[in-house]
Amino acid sequence: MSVLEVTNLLKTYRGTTAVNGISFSLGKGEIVGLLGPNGAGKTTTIHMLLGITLHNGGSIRYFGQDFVTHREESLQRMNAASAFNTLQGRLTVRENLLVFAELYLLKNPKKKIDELLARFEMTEFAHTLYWSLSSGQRTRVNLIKSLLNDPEILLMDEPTASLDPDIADKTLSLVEELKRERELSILYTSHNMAEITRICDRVIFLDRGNIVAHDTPQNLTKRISTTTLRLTVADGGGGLRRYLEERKQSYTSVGDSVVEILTEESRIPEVLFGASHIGATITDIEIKKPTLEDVFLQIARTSV
Amino acid sequence: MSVRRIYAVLMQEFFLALHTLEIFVDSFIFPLLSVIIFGLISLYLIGSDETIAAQYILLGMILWQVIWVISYSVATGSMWNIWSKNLSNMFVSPLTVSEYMSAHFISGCAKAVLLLVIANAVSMVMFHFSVLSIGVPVLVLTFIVFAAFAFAVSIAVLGLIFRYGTRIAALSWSLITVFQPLAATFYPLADMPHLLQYVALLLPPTYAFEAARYSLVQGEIAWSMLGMGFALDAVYGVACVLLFRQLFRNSRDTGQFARNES
Repeated sequence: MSVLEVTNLLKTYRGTTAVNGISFSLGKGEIVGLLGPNGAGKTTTIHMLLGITLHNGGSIRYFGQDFVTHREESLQRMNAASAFNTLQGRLTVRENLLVFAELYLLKNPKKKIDELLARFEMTEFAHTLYWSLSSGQRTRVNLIKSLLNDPEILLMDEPTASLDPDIADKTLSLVEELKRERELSILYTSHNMAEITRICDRVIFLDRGNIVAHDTPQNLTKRISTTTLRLTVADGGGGLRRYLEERKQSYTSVGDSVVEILTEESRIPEVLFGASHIGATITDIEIKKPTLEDVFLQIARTSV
Repeated sequence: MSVRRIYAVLMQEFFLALHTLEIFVDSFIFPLLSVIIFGLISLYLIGSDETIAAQYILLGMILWQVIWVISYSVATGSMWNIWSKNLSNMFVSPLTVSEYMSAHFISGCAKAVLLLVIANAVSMVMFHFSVLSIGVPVLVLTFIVFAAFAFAVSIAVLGLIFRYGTRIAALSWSLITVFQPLAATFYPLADMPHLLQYVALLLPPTYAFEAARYSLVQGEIAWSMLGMGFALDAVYGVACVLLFRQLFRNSRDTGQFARNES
């Protein structure tokens, strides 16, 4: 069952098309990644889905209801977290959360705030002014704010941008936990392909306002059939290079002792067997399978 | 409209005022200093047998603070959220624009009442003049005329800022002062230059200031003046609400609303 249905969503600015009639859905308990290069239309799409930018055409339906005519009901059941928006810097963490708890008409605001502060290990910062927090702490407070109303849908716009790897990892673990525990549906934008691969069930690639790919991360990486086999050889690799040239196998030399071979994944055993057969002394083998980043780069470069 | 969401914005206003020295200074210290300075000028005028002129100046200055503080509270109140990149957060909650604006209006009126009480106390102690000399009914009625005008101007200014960006943010605290000399704040309308009288006649506060002075001197309520003030307020109110709605819509349509915080 879809909790969000986007149909032919269109946004133009003075004749320039920012989002060109895109359609997609978000299922209950599903995490969908929205990817694309700068200017692809990701943020504009998120802004339209939140109602702070108006769309020129198409429709947005949350829980089966039109967003334009049911704005308040829809927003009551969802929330958003973005690295680009902060809370009121001159208020303490608790004061900010109290304001939002009231905005979402929470029945027992103080209890909910205390629970979330404890869960995110932010209790000791409850009375600290928001602007004096570190970026990691701010992100955690933004996430607390976005979970105050127990949302069924969460729109996350690059929530881990500017976080150090440790905090980013904790944030992702939390997102995974929320998905498991509460069947939370999440639309997630990020430039970090590893993050997207880790948490998203489906990925939508946007480019210049159009959806250019839409699939699971695994299926998307299958679009690239070649794998890079990186061999480190002890004897300088002369024999190995000759062997590859005889077999018309393309390769790249990285220094004297490393050879990178671009081949189909299924042919890797054959190449390794051949190298061993000619007596090459292989000291290290590294197989680099295509990642979502490779797919992203391929799509971005193709479109340019 | 949800009372709790209005309360939420009021709570934010309260917390913000607690932590922000600028709000305290702009809303209370500067206005009180103005009252004191103008009170001292009025003392000088009393010394030169211009008692009524002195009272006009002090009365005008105290009443002007109602317009100033409501305008400042409504227009600049939103700027604090834009500067903190928090306004979008507020509007991706179920909060509606009318709830948000109502809260800021209530907050502005509360500050205006508080300021009026303090300014009047200062005036009574230092200059032996009370704004209550015009009578409580006239004070209440003029307060309403001033509050409605200040709110109308502020939402128009906010609409312009939402639409054209924070580069014109200075309008939020400066535009209202343009009306001070034009609205016969400190002097009777009849004593203004002829051409400016036509401009003054188009402004609701002019009629409220005239009514306040009339009541001070005659001890009676100038109903026709106050009526004109209310009628013009209604015109300004409708025009400014429509203007705000259009500008706010344009701001969301062009993406400027989101860009204001980027």
